[in-house]
Amino acid sequence: MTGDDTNDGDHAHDHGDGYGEHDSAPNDPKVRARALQSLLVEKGVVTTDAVDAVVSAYEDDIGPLNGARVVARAWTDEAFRERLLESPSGTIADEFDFAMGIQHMQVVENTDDVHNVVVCTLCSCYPWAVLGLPPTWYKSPEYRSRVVREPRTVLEEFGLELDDDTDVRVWDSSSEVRYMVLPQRPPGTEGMTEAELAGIVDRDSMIGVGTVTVES
Amino acid sequence: MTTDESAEGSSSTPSDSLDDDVGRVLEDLQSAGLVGGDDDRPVFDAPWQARAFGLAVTLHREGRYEWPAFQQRLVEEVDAEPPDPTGDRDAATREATYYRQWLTALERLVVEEGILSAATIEERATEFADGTRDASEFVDGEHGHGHDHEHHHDH
Repeated sequence: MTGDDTNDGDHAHDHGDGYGEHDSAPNDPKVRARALQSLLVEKGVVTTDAVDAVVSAYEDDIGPLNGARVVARAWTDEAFRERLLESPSGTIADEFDFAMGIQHMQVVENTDDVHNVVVCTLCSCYPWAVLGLPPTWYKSPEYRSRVVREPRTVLEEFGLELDDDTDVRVWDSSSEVRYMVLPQRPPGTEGMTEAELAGIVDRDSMIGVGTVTVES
Repeated sequence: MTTDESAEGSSSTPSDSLDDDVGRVLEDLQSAGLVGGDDDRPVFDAPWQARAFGLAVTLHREGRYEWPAFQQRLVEEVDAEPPDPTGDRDAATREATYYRQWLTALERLVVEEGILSAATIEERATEFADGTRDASEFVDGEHGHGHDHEHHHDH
């Protein structure tokens, strides 16, 4: 990832890195970052490979795909689903290769009668290990206050129409408990494999501001 | 929101697992309300931001400092220039501001820990800024295979 501004010695390119133009100021963050890495590599304190590995771990290994895999397994493996609802952290740690950041998780299941939605009214606690980084709106004061006060209206704004008799439950996350919604498996997915199912589960459905749908 | 550093979310002890270390760092940043990144945008808006992130975490993993020491300085930098509460600046600008603060925090810590001197950093930055030095130089030193003009665009 950082490769593209370490190897392009002479040309400016579309990332606006601009160092090839020789007109940057020494206090330009691009220049500062470059200077720091240059010196630290030279002194043998870090290697470029180690720095790049951290970046790709951040970009590729942590994200909503993890949550989608959990949901897909719960849809296809009844015993896993039961254990997941019972004790999410241990169950995920047992069956998946990501273990960090799930210690305080709780999974709430959508059914025909109940729709769950997650918020953090205090700040922006979020199960990032399974959902990646929180979207901007999740952190907005508006969402945080309104979804508690008028969840149906907020969900409608997200394009989610719920039956009047559906019970809407709002879960307030904290540093002690991070909630993830287990969405309902949509009809028409009976023939799909676990991996295919993971591909249709999106972030919003696991926050509860959306449902999982299949394109027909 | 927790201040309990003994909890399993604490990042003070680097492990063998890179994902776990990055995860702990994110956990700590998030607890302090310091996570960057927005919506469906790429996590990093420019290579220098990825570099700033990667360097700070790598130095911590190499045992050069405890993560809370970095985070403390990041908090100070963010507090000195808080994000626009009205949120009307665009996401890319917010992201750039965040990583600029991140970088300043990192530079301060690197100097305080005696890893590099402020003067050395200044001198090197000036060399990059005026073009005396370009990127290929340290990439060569790092890999030593003379492939400085190879491109590794991965997007």
